[in-house]
Amino acid sequence: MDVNFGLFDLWVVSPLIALFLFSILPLTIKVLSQNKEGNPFIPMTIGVLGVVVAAALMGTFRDLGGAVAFQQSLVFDSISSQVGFLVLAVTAVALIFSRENLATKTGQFSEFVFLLLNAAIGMLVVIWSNDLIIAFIGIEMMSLCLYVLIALSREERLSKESAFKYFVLSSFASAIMLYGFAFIYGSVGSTYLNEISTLGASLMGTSYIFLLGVVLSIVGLAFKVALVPFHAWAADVYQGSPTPLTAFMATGVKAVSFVLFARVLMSEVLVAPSAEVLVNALQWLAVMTMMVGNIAAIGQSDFKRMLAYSSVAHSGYVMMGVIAAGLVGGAGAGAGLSAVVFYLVAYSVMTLGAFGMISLLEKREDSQVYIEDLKGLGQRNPWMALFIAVFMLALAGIPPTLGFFGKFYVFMAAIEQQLYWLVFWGLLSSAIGLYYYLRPIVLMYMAEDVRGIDVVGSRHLTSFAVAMTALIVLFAGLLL
Amino acid sequence: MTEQILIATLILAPLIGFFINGLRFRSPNGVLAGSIASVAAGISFLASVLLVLRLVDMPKEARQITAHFFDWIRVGDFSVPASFLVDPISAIMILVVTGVGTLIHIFSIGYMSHDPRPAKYFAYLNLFLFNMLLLVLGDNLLIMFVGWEGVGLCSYLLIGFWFTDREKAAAGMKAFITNRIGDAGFLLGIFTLFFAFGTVDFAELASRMPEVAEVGWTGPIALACLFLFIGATGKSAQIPLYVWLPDAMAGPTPVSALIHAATMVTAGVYMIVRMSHVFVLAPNVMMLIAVVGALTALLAALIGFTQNDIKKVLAYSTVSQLGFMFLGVGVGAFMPAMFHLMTHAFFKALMFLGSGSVIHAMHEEQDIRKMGGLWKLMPITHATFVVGWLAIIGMPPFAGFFSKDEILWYTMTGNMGHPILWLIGILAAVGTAFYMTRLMCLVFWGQSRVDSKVHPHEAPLNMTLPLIALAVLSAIGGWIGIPHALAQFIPGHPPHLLGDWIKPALVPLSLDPGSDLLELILMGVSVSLAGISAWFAYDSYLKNPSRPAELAKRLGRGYEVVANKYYVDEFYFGRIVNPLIALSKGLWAYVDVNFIDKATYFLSDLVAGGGRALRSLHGGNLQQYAMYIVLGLVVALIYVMI
Repeated sequence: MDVNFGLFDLWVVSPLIALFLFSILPLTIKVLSQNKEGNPFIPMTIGVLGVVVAAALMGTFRDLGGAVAFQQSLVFDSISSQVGFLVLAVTAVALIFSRENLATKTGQFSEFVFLLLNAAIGMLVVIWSNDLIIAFIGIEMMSLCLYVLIALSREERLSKESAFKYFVLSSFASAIMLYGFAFIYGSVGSTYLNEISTLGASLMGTSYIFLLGVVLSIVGLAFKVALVPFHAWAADVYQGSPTPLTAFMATGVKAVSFVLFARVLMSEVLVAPSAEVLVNALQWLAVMTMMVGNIAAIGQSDFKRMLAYSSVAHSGYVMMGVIAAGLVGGAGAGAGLSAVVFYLVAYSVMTLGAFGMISLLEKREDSQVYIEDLKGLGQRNPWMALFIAVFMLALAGIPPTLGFFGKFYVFMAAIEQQLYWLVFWGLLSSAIGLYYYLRPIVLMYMAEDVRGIDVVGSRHLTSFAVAMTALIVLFAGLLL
Repeated sequence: MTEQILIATLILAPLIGFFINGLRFRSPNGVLAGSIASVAAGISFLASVLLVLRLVDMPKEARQITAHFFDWIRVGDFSVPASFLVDPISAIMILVVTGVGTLIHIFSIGYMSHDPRPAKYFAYLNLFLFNMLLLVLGDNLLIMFVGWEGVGLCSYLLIGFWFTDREKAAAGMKAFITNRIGDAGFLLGIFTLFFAFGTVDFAELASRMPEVAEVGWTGPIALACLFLFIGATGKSAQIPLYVWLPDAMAGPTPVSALIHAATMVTAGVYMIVRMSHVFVLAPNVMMLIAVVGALTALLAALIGFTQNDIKKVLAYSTVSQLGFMFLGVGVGAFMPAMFHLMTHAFFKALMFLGSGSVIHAMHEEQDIRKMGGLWKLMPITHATFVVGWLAIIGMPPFAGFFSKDEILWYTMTGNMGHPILWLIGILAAVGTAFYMTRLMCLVFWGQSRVDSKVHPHEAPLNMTLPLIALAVLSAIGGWIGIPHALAQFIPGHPPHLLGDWIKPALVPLSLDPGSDLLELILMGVSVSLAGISAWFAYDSYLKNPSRPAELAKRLGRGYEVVANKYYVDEFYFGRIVNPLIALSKGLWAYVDVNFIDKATYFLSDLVAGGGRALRSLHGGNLQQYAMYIVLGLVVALIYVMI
């Protein structure tokens, strides 16, 4: 195999190179200053700067119309850049949150920035990959960084536990996924997604090996995006991780996993008539995810754990769009695919905001925020209460917030593919979800102040970021 | 500046003022808040003057400026653009709304100087202007409806501005609910028109109208017009929905001047004039409008005889004058109706502000029996009030004379009018002359009955200046519409400026007015009858103060009925409101609690139980989680592969 590559290849991976260079800068500074951690503000600024530079470089090739690089390993189409920008934005916000969160603002913040930027590199590789092997490497790179990031927390007990759980279960799922990729390679003779697409439809009807490969890959991916019943890790890991990292995982990691999921399903594997069973199975996954996610969230008393289940439920909604996109298949995935991307962006913005609020409310590195604690927040801190209310309403999908438009487009895409039952379940579970999304609002505004928590100290950057996301959530839907 | 920018400035200036004052609504600085709001209103006025000047420069038949900003609603092939239309009809409205509005803003600075929350007040006032401008400028029914609802909201907020007083809060509620009943009609009208003609755009509606008028009551046009007219009776306080307007006087007096006299309450008239192309095709509804208008004019004027609250008298007078306008549009006299709308805005705003000045001087005393002889103490207020009085009772050459007589003239001679309607109109005019003169006698003239603890004084300059400006307008505002019958005797033969201005924008109608001589005779009749009536009131209240009481006694039961406003409020409460409340209480206590609540609680318990059950499945055990994955994988493989 040739290993030569041209200028074009270097150009398109320049964001990755920039991210990497900026990621080792804080470490270099630390080594040069006798291994002493300075003000965490400096590594954070370098990290954000790296993200900005990467975004600027990515801005130079916004629309390459599906061009491939590195012998077809990477592909650059509209999702590549749209979700790419999303990943960078999420990374920047997570950096800002981390700087002001007590669990992540440790004596190893330089290492933290290094790992987070490298996770972002892995994520970009995943969404750009046209090659299953490259995608797998991206996922592993991202995951490895995350295990360490979670374990780096100042809080000792829960974070170590969740890092370990995440590591074991994620490796387990990765193994299943890799097994699936191997079967696909075995029947198609290639790991390039565009080559799989040309054979996908016909192989679905004829080759059991191929079908086995697809199912195994789907199971692995379903674990990554937390579809029921492969979701059980999500609540524990999201709850145990430091809040900024939870925000990062629930938005960025989930988004890139969904992009890969969509790319795999769009390789013409769902369009064949013989794929009907597979489509049904996927629909069941989506329905179970929505229902279990929403119902399980109702029973939670911990705010973060509730949001974790909410994030599981949202995976179900995205899955509706992914199925719709897969049914169209190929390049013309139109409404379904754009609905998925829109939903991922909308969901990421409001989830970042919600977890940012939790991060603001945490007093110590190991403090937990219970929903009951929000009682009377409307009086103690009207602005914060307003933000929480905005995020909750958005997550519940109330117009005119971004969340409503996200759901609207996904449901529309599903209706276009005649997935009426799926939409019915989606609507039903949205109605159930309303219950737990409204509960914090009720408690904040209508319950008497008992012990109550409030924002501690001055965390201006986080507050600013949260306020910005709230504005976007409120008004972007109307302007788009 | 392009016209787009001018229109945007016109509409957005009050909105920006609203946001500025709304964000600092706790500020106690009334002068600052008032200045911000007044400047915003002033900018709007300036923009509308510039727009109207551009309109004047255009050729007569093509006087129209439209501005399309964005598509507000796009569903399938139905779209509602956020676009606005300045034509001769809306030009009059924007001048009145922003011009009179600015004066009232300035007046309010003085009037609200003792209020603890002036910024909130001015924010509402600006928001009202914004919505009123949407109402008059929108080039389709939906934009108009947004403004229509918006002014209703602002009216509610301002009537109940002193909401700690239960009675005032209730008045706001009454206004809002009564208006909402009308609004429901308005919405049904829009639906009917859209259903029948597939558009809500004024110009397109006009072009899709059939050639011949509809017969009967049940055609789509008649039905739509009927519904729209119900909306108009709510907003413009006509029978049967007029009951809210007198109560609305609970709000600050400048609000009564702006919203409940000069602008918002005329929205119904404006709407019908704007839709004249549609309304003329429903002659039955036109007749109904004329009858309702005439009756409202007369009955409200009669109530005016018996009221002792200075603002209530003016409120019933407003209802009555609005009745005149509806009489006008009902007989097809769209131009005179707009004319009267404009002159009424001048003199009624003047009188409301004057009454505000009096109330302010009397330390919130509104009972005219406790006033009298104020002319010495408040010379400017008195002088301007006299101008308003002369204008409303229709004395030439004051503004009200020209517009009112033109309506009566069309009522008598136009082919859609009728002599009986004219007679009712004349009676209402005679009544107006009586009760307005009574008001003058009791408030300004005669002996002082003022409480010795109260020392009335003339208002400061920022309150008297708007009065003077409005007085000038009330005096000469009618000269833009001098009828031909009179103009022939005046050197230079001034043309009927308003008629020339507005006619091209209206539906072409041949109303066949009669001869000049007849017009002059009718004019003489109405002026002399009004004069006699005024003299009689003057004589009764100043020369023989015992006569009114004797008259009231002799009329006995009839007086009682009028003084109690025909018991309409009692009827509404006894027969409609209270039974409704009883019904909803019953629904709540029996149906809701027993069936609906139980069903929903059952469902929510079910879901919450499910939540608890699922919680036990997520115990945090790693092996358990791994088992879920394996089980899921196995089930998926079995499902798909077999």
